[in-house]
Amino acid sequence: MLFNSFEFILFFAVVYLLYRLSNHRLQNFMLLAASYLFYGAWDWRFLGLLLFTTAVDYACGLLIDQARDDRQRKLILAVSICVNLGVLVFFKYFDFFSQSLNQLALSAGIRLDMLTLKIILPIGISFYTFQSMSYTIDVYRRQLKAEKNFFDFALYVSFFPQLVAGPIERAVNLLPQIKAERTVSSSQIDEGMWLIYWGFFKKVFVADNLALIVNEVFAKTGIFPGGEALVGVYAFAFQIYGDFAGYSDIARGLAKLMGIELMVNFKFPYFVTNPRDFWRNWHISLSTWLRDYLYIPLGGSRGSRLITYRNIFITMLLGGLWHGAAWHFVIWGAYCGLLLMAYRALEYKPVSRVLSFAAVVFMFHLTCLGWLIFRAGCMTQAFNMLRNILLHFSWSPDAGYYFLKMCFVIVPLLALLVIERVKNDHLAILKWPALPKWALLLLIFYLITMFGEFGGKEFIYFQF
Amino acid sequence: MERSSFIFSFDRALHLVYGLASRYLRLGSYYVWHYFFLFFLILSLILVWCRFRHRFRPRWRHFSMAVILVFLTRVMLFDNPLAWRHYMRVVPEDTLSWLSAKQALDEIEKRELISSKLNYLIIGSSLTYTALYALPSLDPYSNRLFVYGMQVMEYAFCEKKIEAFNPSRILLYITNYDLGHIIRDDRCGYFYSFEGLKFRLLFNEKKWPFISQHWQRLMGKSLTGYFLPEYRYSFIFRQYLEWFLGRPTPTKYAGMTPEQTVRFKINMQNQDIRGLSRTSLDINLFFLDYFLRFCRKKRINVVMLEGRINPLAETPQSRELSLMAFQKLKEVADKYDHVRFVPVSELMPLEPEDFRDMLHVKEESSSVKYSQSVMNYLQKMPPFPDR
Repeated sequence: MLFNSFEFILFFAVVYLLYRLSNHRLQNFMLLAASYLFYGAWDWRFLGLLLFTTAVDYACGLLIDQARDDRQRKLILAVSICVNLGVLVFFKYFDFFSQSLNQLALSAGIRLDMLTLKIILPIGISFYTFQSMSYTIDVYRRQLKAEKNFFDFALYVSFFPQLVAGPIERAVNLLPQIKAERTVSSSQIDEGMWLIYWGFFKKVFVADNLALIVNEVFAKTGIFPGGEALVGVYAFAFQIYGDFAGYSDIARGLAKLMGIELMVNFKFPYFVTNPRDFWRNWHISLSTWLRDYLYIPLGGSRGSRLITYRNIFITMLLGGLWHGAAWHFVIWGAYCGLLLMAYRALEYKPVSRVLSFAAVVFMFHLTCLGWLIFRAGCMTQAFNMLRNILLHFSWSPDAGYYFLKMCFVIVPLLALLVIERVKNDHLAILKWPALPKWALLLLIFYLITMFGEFGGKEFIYFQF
Repeated sequence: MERSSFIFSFDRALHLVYGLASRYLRLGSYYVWHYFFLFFLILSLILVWCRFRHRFRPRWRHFSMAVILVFLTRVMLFDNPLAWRHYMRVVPEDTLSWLSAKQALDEIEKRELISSKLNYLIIGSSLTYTALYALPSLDPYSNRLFVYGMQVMEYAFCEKKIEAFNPSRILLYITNYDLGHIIRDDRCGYFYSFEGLKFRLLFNEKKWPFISQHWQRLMGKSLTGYFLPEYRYSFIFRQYLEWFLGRPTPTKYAGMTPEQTVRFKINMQNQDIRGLSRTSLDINLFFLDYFLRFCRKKRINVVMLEGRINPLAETPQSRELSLMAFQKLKEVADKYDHVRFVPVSELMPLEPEDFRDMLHVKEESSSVKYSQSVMNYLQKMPPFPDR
């Protein structure tokens, strides 16, 4: 059930009506049932897995809280982490590692024939596993009391707006909101509606239109004009932003309508001047998760320069692997790690507006290089595209057409993002006077309905 | 109550409202009435808004104003024959896809329909179009409703359009290809209406095999188009954009390209997935029956002509399927007194030289003779019983 589908609109309308008519306890039960229904609509067989992860972490949280000494607490935490990562590795990475080992052995002349299971990847597994795991770690760190009510905890893990593609919420933020009685203010409704609207615009108008260009360009093989490849990469940069930020906005908007505040997952990632700021603006819930539960436990930046680089590199490498079981994701992670390390070594800060602008453009291109690796099905394709851009650069009529079409899509997006960036407020447009605000809302309505792609395309991050 | 029955009831209620209004208000076709209805609805909305707007809270005042603006824009852009004439002049038909062109022409046509009865409404695919190409010139009180690649099951999608034509008789030209070739699940999404949803539910209930993700997406498109005319007719604005960006897309082609003809012949010989299938025959016959019941309810008589594809394209398997198919058609016709089946032996035989490819009759030459033979038969045909 995709956010951009009729089934979901009907589903949410019913859920929301019941939600507003229920009292707090009933609201939580109803949201839990709706979340399981929402997840089961993809594949009911994986509901058991979701329940298993929930039950394990719920039990581990309670046991950690009741443990007598640190050794026992550590042991229970280890059980929780092993189970969570075990589930993730089994469902997401088993075949990848197995096939990679087979190929490695084959290249060394050894035939291993390791088993591949061809398991279907449960949707959103990386998101809810990380979310659930963060809870036990927080309980272990005594940042949070263990949750005693199983249903509240289950709702925290499975809350449907953010279940399959984040934001990866922290228990510290979400659990208290689940437990407390919620009131929905009129400003929350306004903000929620705006975020949903804005999210749909990013997904249906921006991402899905750009997907047409990206798919056409990335389907090309061999030598073709570099201009087309370049526009294809630019288009993908905005497609993935529109797709993922759009999902996050819709998720936040839906939650707001129910009186729940989810964390901001995207700020202004393409207006930054360095890789560190990029990760402070892009998929914030994942980057802060990796920082708090991987980078800092590895030692963070407390050790020598070399140790810090190592920690950055490992964190980003695993961050890349989190995105998918394929080598190009690992290489993308390594590339991001290298960028962060290089920035840490240089620590360059632009001193004038012109230099800041140049840094933004430069950083955007570095990001695009990463996206090229990310989007390409394999490294051969990535090299091929790069070769066409650098060595066979020419401007074909198709490239011109792609470029103009891309501009048509991204100019309205960028214009609105610039307005939000200048005010440093995601809801800046809501604060406009009535006339321009409603004119803008109507313009967005027409852009969505007249030029949007309503094929109900899946969100890119669902595959992760 | 089955889910499909619920949807059918809802749809019937809509039909009833439109039907009664067109019948008793005598405003021409219900599309024209629909146009007037919209006009008065919006006028009333504006009046209500002007009168009571100060009583609304600012948020609702602005919201209602935006809604009224959207409705007004809709009337200007989509319920306005002048606008459609303009689109067709600025966006040439041959730069639209065949479906978009068809939709645009329908939009112009349906607003110009008169309420007097048509003698014959010819419905079918491009096979029907080419075979009976000359018939409307022989009988000025006939018209045609065809969609490229239309299958028998799709007749039932056009209920609303058929009502708008207000025919006393429907002429169907059905070949074994129309009945038996593989059901394409991309078709139903083209019809922006509840029909798509009804058929989706019917397919689910019957457990027919072709429901796919692709179909799900098309259903989404279909329903979005039903509720949002801005999306339904978005092809116009996209075409404006394509023209502006310098890349018109000429995709319209009536009939088969030479490459398609070769591929078709190979497929027929190999009896692969694009060949004829028994399942498709069953599905099409089910929907044909559904369509005939609709015609009975609307007091429309139906003449079914047994059509032919190029004999060169026939294979032993396709001939066997043809025999079975036309036997079934005859049985269906015998079941209803408002339906007549005309076997191929009663009409002019179509030889390989009468076809311009594996499926389509030559419009300029053979179709004229064939249409004349059909017209002669129809004139001699005994009248339908009064109902």
